[in-house]
Amino acid sequence: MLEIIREYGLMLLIGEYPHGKLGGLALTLIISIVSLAVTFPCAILIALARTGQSRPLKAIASGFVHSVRAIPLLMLIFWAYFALPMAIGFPIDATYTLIIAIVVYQAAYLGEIIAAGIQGLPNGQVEAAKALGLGYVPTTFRVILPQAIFNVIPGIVNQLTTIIKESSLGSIIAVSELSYVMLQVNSNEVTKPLQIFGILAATYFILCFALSQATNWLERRIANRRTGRVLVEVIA
Amino acid sequence: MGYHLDFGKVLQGEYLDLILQGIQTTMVLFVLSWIFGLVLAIILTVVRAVKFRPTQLLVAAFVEYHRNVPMLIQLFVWYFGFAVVLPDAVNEYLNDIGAEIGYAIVALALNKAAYMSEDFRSGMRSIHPAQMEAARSIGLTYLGAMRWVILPQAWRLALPALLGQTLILFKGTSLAAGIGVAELSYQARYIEEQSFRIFEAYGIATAIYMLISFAIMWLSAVLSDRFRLRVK
Amino acid sequence: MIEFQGVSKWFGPLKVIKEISATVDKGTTIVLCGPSGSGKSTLVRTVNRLESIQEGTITVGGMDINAKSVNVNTLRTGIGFIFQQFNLFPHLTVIDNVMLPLRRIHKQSRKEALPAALLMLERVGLADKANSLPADISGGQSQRVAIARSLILKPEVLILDEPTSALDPEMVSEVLKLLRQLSGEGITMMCVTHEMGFAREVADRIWFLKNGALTFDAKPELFFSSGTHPDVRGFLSSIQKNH
Ligand SMILES: Nc1ncnc2c1ncn2[C@@H]1O[C@H](COP(=O)(O)OP(=O)(O)OP(=O)(O)O)[C@@H](O)[C@H]1O
Ligand SMILES: [Mg+2]
Repeated sequence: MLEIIREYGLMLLIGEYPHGKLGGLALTLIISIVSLAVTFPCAILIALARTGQSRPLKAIASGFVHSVRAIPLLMLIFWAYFALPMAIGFPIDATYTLIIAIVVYQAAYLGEIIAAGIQGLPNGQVEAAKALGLGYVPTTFRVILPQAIFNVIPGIVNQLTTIIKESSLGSIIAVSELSYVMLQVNSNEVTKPLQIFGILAATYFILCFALSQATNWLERRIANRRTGRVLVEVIA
Repeated sequence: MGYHLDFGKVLQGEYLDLILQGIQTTMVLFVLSWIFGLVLAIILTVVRAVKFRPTQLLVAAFVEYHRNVPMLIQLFVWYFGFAVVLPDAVNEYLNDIGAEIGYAIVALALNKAAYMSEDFRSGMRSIHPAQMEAARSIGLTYLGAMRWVILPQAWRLALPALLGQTLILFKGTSLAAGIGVAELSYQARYIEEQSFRIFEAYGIATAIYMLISFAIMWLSAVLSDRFRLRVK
Repeated sequence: MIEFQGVSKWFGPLKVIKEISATVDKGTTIVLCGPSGSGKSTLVRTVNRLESIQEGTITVGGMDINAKSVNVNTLRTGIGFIFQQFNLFPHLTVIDNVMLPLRRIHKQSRKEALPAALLMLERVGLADKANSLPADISGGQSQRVAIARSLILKPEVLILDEPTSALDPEMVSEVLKLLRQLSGEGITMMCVTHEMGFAREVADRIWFLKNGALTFDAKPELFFSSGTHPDVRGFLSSIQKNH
């Protein structure tokens, strides 16, 4: 176990870099964070359409969410990797196609999380804003969204955990993220698969477990904040 | 461009056979892992309910491993990792009979067991303790109260989450392609490679996935509604 | 029928029941009252062993309920217990709630249990709600179903812990009316309640608890008279203020 870490540890962290492309855990993290960052605005648009007044927008958003939820992520990755370059007529880097597939997939999930956050707000909030004479845009972007998003921060962090796990599918289309690197290591060191995949699993575990603990912690903080318990805690 | 969609090319002869085989393998993966996963989930829930620290910790570790490691890696661990534990002769035999599907079923079932046992547990936890008290004060034994009062509520409360897991499992069977199981997405990829009919191959596979997913979603909605537990 | 002899109970270091000795005669109705936290719930819960005791003995029908030979489940089938929050089973219809003891304890078939359960529902005036779910009936109706469920095994003792405190005011009277009727039919009843009108009219004796001790045990005439215990006087005026 230790030998493998000594020999391939650096590769696990950053891939072939600096002699080749950046890969490994670093690339996994970059892919995940970029995916989440790109997903976020898309998810907000979907959430606004889902909770808004316009019937056609509602129907489109709902159709998108349900369709995407009906397709395995791997199929979306195949579409993005094999079919998309064909359709647009020029090649795209595999890393980008992975990000595109994850963004489409996650937009459906994150959109629903944010929509739930919007629906969970007390009705009075909208009415208070309207009573102040605020229009749709300021009401949405200054009153509704900030609160809704604050309340679903735990859900967003949880989605980051999910994305990190989903990015492992990059290994199927040769994106040199963490899993792919370790598959390469495995084909070099054919006699130690248990150790190699053990290390791989452990790496994901540490990352995702830490993030899910953070999610739980945030959930408690935010639940307390909403019920005003933090104040008591601070005073006590 | 000059690309003309022609589904007929893919929906015939050898390719049609491959697609049908793919559907069959996907369904075998789905149904068997669902059944094994559910049974194991129930066992895990019971074990965890027994107040014995070591076994509780063991179950908790099992659950956390399966929730925090990507499904694909869990498949790799079984497929690449388990093989070295076995003697060569056994491995050869397993490869001959196509053991990938067996590894895939084991990995998928264990993964679902972890998630489903969590769903059961949170179902149990959302039952008010007074229900147990009321059941016992009628004169039911502990097991009687479990059987007739707690569990009938617990599974109803867990049902929507369990159905959600069912859809996730169905889609997750596609990951078995990663260890060479010739299920639907694997066949789509193979047909695409052979025929260069990218849009047709993936289009048909996607349509089949969507069809079955929609059926699962519809059934989930019906069942959730039918068995919803309304508590005042 | 029920006898407490030097009963004490601790929750950890906290002594919540203090050397209580008292008797409930067969067929009588006892009302328990006292300030919040005085131990009323704890005391009535010891009778069907929802709470254990550390000192003293409790006998029901001459039998020491904490003796090793006593089967707690058999004991409980002979004692009906009603909670403030009704605790109907939400997955079962009203009639299935009432039939549950017959079917799961007396192992009767649905067919065998049905007539008795319907009769019992009629007695509490809810035959028309037999097939409703608990979520679809009012609080007062829920509590009457709970009473029907606890009476279906024909217990000799009925214990009620604040049966009307969770109810809207307009529903209190329908439950009290039923209790009045039951009390008249000769069941032995212990009822924790702050409905003093009900206590005055129906109780044979009223017990006043304070800090875990049975401070005063008297007939209603004395309890509500000017010669009552000074703590009771303070308590009565305080609950009058709140009502
Ligand atoms: N499970 C428990 N663990 C520890 N202490 C308890 C427990 N249940 C009750 N107590 C304590 O025992 C005392 C008596 O409580 P009990 O519920 O019997 O009072 P009560 O007279 O029924 O009050 P209320 O009118 O509010 O229902 C209280 O001080 C309470 O805090
Ligand atoms: Mg009480």
